[in-house]
Order: sequence, then C-alpha cells, then structure tokens
Amino acid sequence: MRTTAANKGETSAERGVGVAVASGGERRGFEERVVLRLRKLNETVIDASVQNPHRVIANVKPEGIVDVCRLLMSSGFDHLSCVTCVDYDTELEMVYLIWSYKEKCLMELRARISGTEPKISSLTSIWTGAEFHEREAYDMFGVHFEGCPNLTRVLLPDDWAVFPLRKSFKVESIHDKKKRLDGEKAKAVKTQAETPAPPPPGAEKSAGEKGDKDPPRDVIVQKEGS
Amino acid sequence: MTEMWLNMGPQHPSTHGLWDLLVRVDGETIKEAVTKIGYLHRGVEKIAENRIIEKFLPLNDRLCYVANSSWTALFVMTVEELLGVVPPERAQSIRVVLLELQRIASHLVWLGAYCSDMGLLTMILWAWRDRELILDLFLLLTGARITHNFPRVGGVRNDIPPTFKERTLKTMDYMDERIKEYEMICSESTLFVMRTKGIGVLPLEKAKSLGCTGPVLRASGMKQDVRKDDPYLGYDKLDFEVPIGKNGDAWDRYTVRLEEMRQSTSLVRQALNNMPEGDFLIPNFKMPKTLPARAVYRRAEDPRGEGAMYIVGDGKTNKPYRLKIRSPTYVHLLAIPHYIKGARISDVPVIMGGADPCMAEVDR
Repeated sequence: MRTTAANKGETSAERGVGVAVASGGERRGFEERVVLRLRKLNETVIDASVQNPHRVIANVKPEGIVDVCRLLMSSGFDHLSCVTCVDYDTELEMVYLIWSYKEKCLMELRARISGTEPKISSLTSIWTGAEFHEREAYDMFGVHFEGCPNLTRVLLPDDWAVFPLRKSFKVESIHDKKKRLDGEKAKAVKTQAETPAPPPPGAEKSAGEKGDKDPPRDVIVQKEGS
Repeated sequence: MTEMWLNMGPQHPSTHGLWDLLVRVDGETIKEAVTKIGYLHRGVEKIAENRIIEKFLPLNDRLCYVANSSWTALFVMTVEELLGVVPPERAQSIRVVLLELQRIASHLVWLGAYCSDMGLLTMILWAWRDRELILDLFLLLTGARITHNFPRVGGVRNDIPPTFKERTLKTMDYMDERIKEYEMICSESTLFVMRTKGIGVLPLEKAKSLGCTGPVLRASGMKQDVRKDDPYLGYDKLDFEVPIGKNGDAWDRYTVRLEEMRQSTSLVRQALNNMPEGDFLIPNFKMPKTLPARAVYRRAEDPRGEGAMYIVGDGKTNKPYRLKIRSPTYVHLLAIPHYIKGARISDVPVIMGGADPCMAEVDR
C-alpha cells in the first residue's frame, strides 16, 4: 500500500507504478535526466521514478527538502504549483507539486515528517509564493515551516487551537451531534438518579413525595433541557 | 505625513465578496498591505473526506459561483485519472463547450465588476445582460443557470438538446460583435486607460516566483496555458491562441481576458462543429466500491488561472482519503501585498479587481 511504501523505501518497480530507469546514464528524455540527477543525491532522496510521461515522483527525506528543491529549480522546475499535506495518523506526508514551464513536466515530491511534532524547512527562499501554501498547511495541519515569514492562521480564526484537516479532528452531522448530546444527557441523568447524592436539608420533603420509583426517563430529559 | 491603517473591506464595494485588504497609507501612498481572507471558509476539503465521490460531486458547483462547472469538470477529471477511466470523445467535446461557455460567462462578470470599480457603470449592465444569454444556454443544456451539476465520472449527464447547437452558434456570433463593443467602450475611454495603464505592475520574474497563473501571469508576458502545456479533454486538437500582455499592469490583465473571450467563442464553435458521434456517458458505468491506493494531481485552466486537485485514495473506501483543492485566486490575493506598494488609494480597487477574486473558491 502507498502509505507503507515510502517507509520501507521500496523501489518504484516493486510499487507497481512508474518505469524503472536504466542506470547506464543515457541521455533520454528530460524526466529520466531529472531522475538520474535526483538519485545522485542519495543521502536525501529515498527513491525517484518516472511515473508516466511528464510526471516524475520522488520520496525525499525532510531534512534535505531545500537542497532538492534548489536542484530542481536549477533543472528548470520553476513553478511551485502546490504544497499540501496528507495525514497518516502517526506521520504527516508533505507533498510538493512543482511544474516546469519549459519542459512541461510535473514533479511530485513527498517527504514524511513526524505527526506529533511536525516541522520542515520553508521553501520561501526559493519561491516567494511558497509562503501562501505553507501558511495554509500550517492552518489546517499545524505543520511548522522553519523560516517561513508570517506563519499565521490564514483561513481560520487566529484564536483557534485545532487543526481541522488532521484525521484526529472528527466531524459529525448535526443529527448525530443531537443524538450524541441527548444520549449523554440521558446517561448523566440516569447515573444521577441511580446514585442520588445526599439530599440537602430543605429538600427532604420533596424527595419523599417523589417516592422510590424512577419517573420515565424522557420526562427527566425534558426537565433538564428546559 | 501621519501613517495609518485602512480597511479596504470586508464590506467594501470593490471587494466583490468578503475579504479584506488592510493597507498602511502615508497620505495617499500605500506602504504596506495585508490580505485577510477566510470569511467564507466552509471546510470543503474536510467534507470531501467524509463523503463518497457521487455525494461530493454537487458540492463542487459551490466552489465558485461564477465558474462552477470548471470545478466540477476538474473534479471529475481528477477522479477519472485516479480510476483510469477515459470518457467517450463526445462527452469530452460537450465538456469543452461547457467549459468555454463558462469562461466567457466568468470573464463577463469580471469585466462588469472591474469597470464598475472605475465608475464605468455602463459596462456592468452590458456585461451582465450578455452573460444572461450564456446562462440561458446553460439552462437549455443542463437545466440550471448557475449550479449545473452536469459533468459525471465517465462523461456528462445528458446529451446536447436538439436546438442547442444552432442557438449556441448564434449566441457566439452575437458575442463576437459584443466583444468589439466592449473594446470600444473601454479601450477608447480615456478614463479607463488612465486608470489602468501602468497601475499595479507585476513583473514577470516576480509573478513566477509568487506562483501566479492564468491571466495574471499571461498579462506579465508569459505564454503559458494549462490547456496547451498539459492538455486535457482534447484541447491539443483544437486551434486557439494564448494571448499575452507586455507590462503586467491592470491594462494588460484587461486585454488578455478580453482576447481570451474571443478565443473561447472560437473554441465553442470548433467543438460544436466537430463534435463526434457516440455516447455521452460510458454505457453501464458504475463507480467502483473502492478508490485505488494512489495519488493523482490534475491541473486545468480555470477562468482565473491554474486550478488543480490532488486526490488520494486509500484502497478501502469510496471516499477520498485526502482532497486538496488548489485555488488560483487564493494565490493571487495573497500575492497582492507583494506588488501593491507605491500605489495610490484610488488604484487599490483596480488592483484588487485585477486578480478576479471569487471568494467561495479562495476560502473553500
């Protein structure tokens, strides 16, 4: 599965996507040349492959993202189309989509970072526009981009403490929410009725009037709600 | 002089939607600006993660109320690429007609709003009146004026109605005449020229670095169009020009968009006249129960720039594991503070309008 492929560092051929590139270093298409250049950075690039014509995909280590992007920029990838993030519970996957206007080729860079303390270097030194996408990723996932100027909330209010596109942030429909709240309320009332607190001195008489028998639950819920 | 902060928004006649441009002014000159957006954030990406593909489809129309089918078609294309499905040629041709009509309608809305910012109030009435003709065509084709919900995974919802071709060709001829008139009323107006030429100049290198796309980048002088560079829906078989500007000012943004409307009328004609016979939807196509566990990034030329979607399937469900929507105007609005410095307060609405903001798509 895709989620585990990057961890284990499988080659592209094993993953079933992409075409293995001959290691002879022949000068074929632009894509193959880029892949060969990337593979030379074997300390930071985990794997790189040509997915299909005009699409190159590479898994990189987060520490080397700026170096890889500098290399890509000098190879002709001049348009940072998008920066986004995918949440895989324990890890976050940063995805950088970079387009080359001249060679008409799309590069997809993926870097896995920790889910508990997500941080990665900012690319604003290479593309000024990276700031906008990075701010959004911070807003939605809480990723800290080191070196990004003005890393603040952009779409959500400044005083929010949650990162809503994380998988740990659950959404529920308005009907589910009502059901859940009603259930919680009824449960609270029930436990209260089962283990009654010692009645306050003035309330003894009213408790005696009620008797030992529990009233129907829905009546109590209505009382609580009012 | 004393410096102060001014709010150009969120409820300002020139913002065309809820957003705010805070500007620090020294007298009349702008020293600094900050974009504030997010007033219309609905969490569309989160909603997508909790819905199956078919149920999310109509929501794409709500991504942008001016160019709605562009987004639905983009989403459908992304899903098709993920599933490895190729729609019939006739369906692709119908989508081209829809998208190009949408582009004309969107640019008309922009033109009306842009000119009314400068006090050229004739234009807003003309542009919106002529947009109504395009909306009538949508009504005929899809049954709705604004939210069409027309493209489907594997094709489109229905075939073109019998009178559609004739009516559309007639409207396109009319539109070509009208575009000449728009050009006459705007380009020959001294006021319009004075208020746009040399205003809000965005040099090419800066535009590229900021990630601007579409008409904004083309106005800065870059011949770039996703329809040409990364073809989809058979755009590579159609014949059209990519207009570019020279200086990257507000005037060039106007001329580029006007020329794009002309190219779009020509594209609609080409697509209608060469429409292949066949199915409009893959027969007996059923959505698979699971999406393949891989990721796809599909780009398309939205009327506002490069729109794109990044979809991740998890191999278990029919819900996207992650859907990222790349909005062109989001980038353009946040880029405004990088080139607005030195402009005058009266130029701010023109520069803001040049980005063609559509807040529903920016905030998502």
